[in-house]
Amino acid sequence: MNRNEGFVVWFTGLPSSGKSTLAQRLKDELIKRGFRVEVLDGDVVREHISRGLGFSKEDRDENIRRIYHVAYLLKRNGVVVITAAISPYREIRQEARELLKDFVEVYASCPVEKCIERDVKGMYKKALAGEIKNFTGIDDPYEPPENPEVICETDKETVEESVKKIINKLIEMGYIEPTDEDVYTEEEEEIIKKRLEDLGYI
Amino acid sequence: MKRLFILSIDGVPYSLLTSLIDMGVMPFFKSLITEKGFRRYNSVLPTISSVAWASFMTGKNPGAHGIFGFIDRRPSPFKLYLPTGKNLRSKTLFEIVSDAGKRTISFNVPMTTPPRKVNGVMVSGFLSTKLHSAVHPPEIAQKLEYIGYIIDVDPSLALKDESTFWKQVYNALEGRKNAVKTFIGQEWDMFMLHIMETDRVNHFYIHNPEKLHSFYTELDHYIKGIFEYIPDDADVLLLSDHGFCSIEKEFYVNTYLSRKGLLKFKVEDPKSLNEMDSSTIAYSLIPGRIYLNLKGREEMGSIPQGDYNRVRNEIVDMLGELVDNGIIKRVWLKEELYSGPFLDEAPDIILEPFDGIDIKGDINRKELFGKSSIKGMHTLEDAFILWIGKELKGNNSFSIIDIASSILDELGVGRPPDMEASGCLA
Ligand SMILES: Nc1ncnc2c1ncn2[C@@H]1O[C@H](COP(=O)(O)OP(=O)(O)OP(=O)(O)O)[C@@H](O)[C@H]1O
Ligand SMILES: [Mg+2]
Repeated sequence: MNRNEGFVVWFTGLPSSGKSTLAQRLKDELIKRGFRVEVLDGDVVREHISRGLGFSKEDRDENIRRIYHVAYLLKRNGVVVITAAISPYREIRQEARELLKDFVEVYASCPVEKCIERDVKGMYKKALAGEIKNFTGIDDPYEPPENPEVICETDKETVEESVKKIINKLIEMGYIEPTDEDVYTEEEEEIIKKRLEDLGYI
Repeated sequence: MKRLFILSIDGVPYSLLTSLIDMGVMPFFKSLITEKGFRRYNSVLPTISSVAWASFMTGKNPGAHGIFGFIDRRPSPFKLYLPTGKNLRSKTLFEIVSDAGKRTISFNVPMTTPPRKVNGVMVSGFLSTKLHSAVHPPEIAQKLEYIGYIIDVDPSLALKDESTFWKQVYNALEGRKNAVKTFIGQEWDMFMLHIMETDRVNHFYIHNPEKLHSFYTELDHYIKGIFEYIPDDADVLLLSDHGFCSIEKEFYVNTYLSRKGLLKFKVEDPKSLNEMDSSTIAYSLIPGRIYLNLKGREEMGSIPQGDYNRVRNEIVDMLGELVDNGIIKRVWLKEELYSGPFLDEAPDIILEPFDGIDIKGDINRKELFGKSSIKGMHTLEDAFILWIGKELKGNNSFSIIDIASSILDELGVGRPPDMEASGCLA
């Protein structure tokens, strides 16, 4: 990686799979480590940069294209960019990967039944009632990534565990440096501390 | 090319082995000894399992692998932390062997927490708390649980509930043996089983010959049991990482530095080094690691960079009185002991202890000397190595840093260019 450039963490997943939640937590974590971070959340982008775009395949692809171009500009200026849009189509994600290069794809994986149960914004309900059309996961396709850098199984993991997985991958890929907190939770650290104290090691 | 089985037995002194053998306590171990393959050899400073095994795994000195103790400090902002394998910033034998297309299996080696993604199996040691995060690949956690594998015994039991302590010691040993039994049939080129229980027992019972003898009698049977699983086409290397001796007394360096006016706290009764005052000149972490409060490096640095050498020399001169009084053996400057990319993180001064006087880092001791419930301490020059059928260099003519390169040679794997070790085979 060019040290003066940032990198991009690209979330993809069904509605309510956990993209925005993880993006925010990851942002906090990276800021704590001294990075400048920008989150491009699908909802916010659609209100501004992509205002007027709909949910046809063409419009969805255009939306993603705008997101990756903004990401490109930010990244080039040393900002770490986290995107949190459904980005349902494989091909356009591949386009983003090729342009951005420092690209870490994170699949927020969660069975659609569970997403429906969560229905954070009440959209699944509307889609199932036929009130809205072309809703990803209901009557619009979602193409899961074939080789994402990270898979967060958000139905099985806690938010903390998912974030830790991403952080560990970023360390492994050399984008961030490990810190002492990367191995233990507080509770685990207490256990280890006690063990070492009992042995007179610390 | 032969494969290699490594049985590492933490903290077993060469001198204890030879005296137990003379007393007839360890007949099986005795039967393994080949004349030129059994040696007394050196650990590293500070003489601590995490530092020693990190040096073993990397074939590098602490300045080149980055591990200096079980506790370490970030200078700015000042923070004490517990180093793990993530702070071990070098490839280890396990990865080097993996990268060469060979397969390794290892259990319980200190400083392999969290487990690295080797070609094969890695089960972390006692710096892990739960099996499911201590294993690579993850799916073996269940199998290990099923065979009764436990990560570590609870050392506090030795003082509270001795019978449970011993039960746990033998359970842990049994679990590790089951792991060998279960995994030895897999394909491997290097298999390493680490026994930690010996260190635990020595810490609490080194002064108690009766208990020690009965434990080492069991250990001898146990080693025999492990050998029954080791295939004939494997070479076998047994070794410890340091020796052990009884503690006569503990020496509290921070109390000494306070009395000399070099270490100051903001409060009357400090609980930790976090409460140090900015006028501090020097402070110490266990065992015998002394850091200068250097401007530009430490959060509240008091010594200008230009005064570093002068101040350090003054402190070294002052510490000379401890050498003269037989309290410590020798005072080292960091560059005399270490070299490499992490020299910056090393303590500025390192105290080498005398066997019997354990150097501590406590900050709330009123006296310079005292005692605690721990009975045994590590020694630098009394580790053992037995590489069956091989010819090793002479006693104490090599250290734990020198073994990795010989292991790679034996496995037919090239030494990485930055591995500094000169080898332990004659
Ligand atoms: N491991 C996890 N990761 C992320 N979210 C989780 C996890 N476990 C539970 N959740 C919960 O799942 C919900 C995910 O909602 P979120 O708004 O983040 O989804 P989203 O993928 O951004 O959806 P949308 O595409 O509709 O914006 C939140 O309520 C969150 O608390
Ligand atoms: Mg969202």
